[in-house]
Amino acid sequence: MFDCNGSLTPRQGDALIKRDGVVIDISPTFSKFMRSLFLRHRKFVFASPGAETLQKIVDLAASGKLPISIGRTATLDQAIALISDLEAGRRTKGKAVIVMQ
Amino acid sequence: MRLETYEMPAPRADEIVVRVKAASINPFDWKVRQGALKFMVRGQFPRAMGSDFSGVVESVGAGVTRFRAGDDVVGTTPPNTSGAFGEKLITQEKRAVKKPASMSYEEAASLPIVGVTAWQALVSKGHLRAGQRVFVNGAYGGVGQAAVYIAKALGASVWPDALVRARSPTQRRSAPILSWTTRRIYRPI
Repeated sequence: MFDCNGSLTPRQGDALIKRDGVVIDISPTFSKFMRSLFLRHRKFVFASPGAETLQKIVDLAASGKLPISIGRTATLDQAIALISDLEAGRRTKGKAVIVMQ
Repeated sequence: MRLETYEMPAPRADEIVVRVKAASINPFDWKVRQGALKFMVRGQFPRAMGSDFSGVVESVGAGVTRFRAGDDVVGTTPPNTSGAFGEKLITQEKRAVKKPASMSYEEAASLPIVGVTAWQALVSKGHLRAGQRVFVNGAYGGVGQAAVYIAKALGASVWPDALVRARSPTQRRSAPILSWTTRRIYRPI
């Protein structure tokens, strides 16, 4: 189980896996991080984008297998308003991208 | 937040200077700004923002071997310095790869953090293999979307929460399911 938005409690997460399954968290809360240190079935990821993994992702996207949708674009001048919106919880469907002119 | 003009230092031996074409926004960027990651990320305020970028290499440090001026690249900035939300940035050679010509700058800039996070979660930590099943909670978000496609590319079957929501009780047979409407977990019988 991969909890991408951190909305599941540790109990809900544990209940979603089979006996040999794992729960993977990326949302850094203290309790989830501590669990990942002590429990074998709880893992925590803080991405470290090195060239090797990034190349796999770029290859996958270039082959059409990783079509990430872009939700909103803005120029650098408009970027502060866009970031503020996202920060306030007004999320876009797909990625928000700043495009330089 | 504000836009400022400032003097860029010369790249160190392992660094490249990139003229930014596109930069994507991740929750990481505003979590740093809010100070929520102060135990993980160093750096003093005021500081630059932005991680994911695509652009054109403008100059390279003395020890850089993989890139030269004019190369199209995609990558991230170091978390402690950031700086992708600007016209130019400095990053380490090891944080960038070449951008395929077939890929737009916008598309390339949206990949690094969500793609690498999902890859490291599913492959490096989860050891996900063909035939296995994964439930992706938050499949509409950037990382969730990437996770769904990466899992499919690996040959695993994926249950994003959007699909689970649509399932009827009679279909809840082979794996536990979290129901969004009742907020309950249904165990397999």
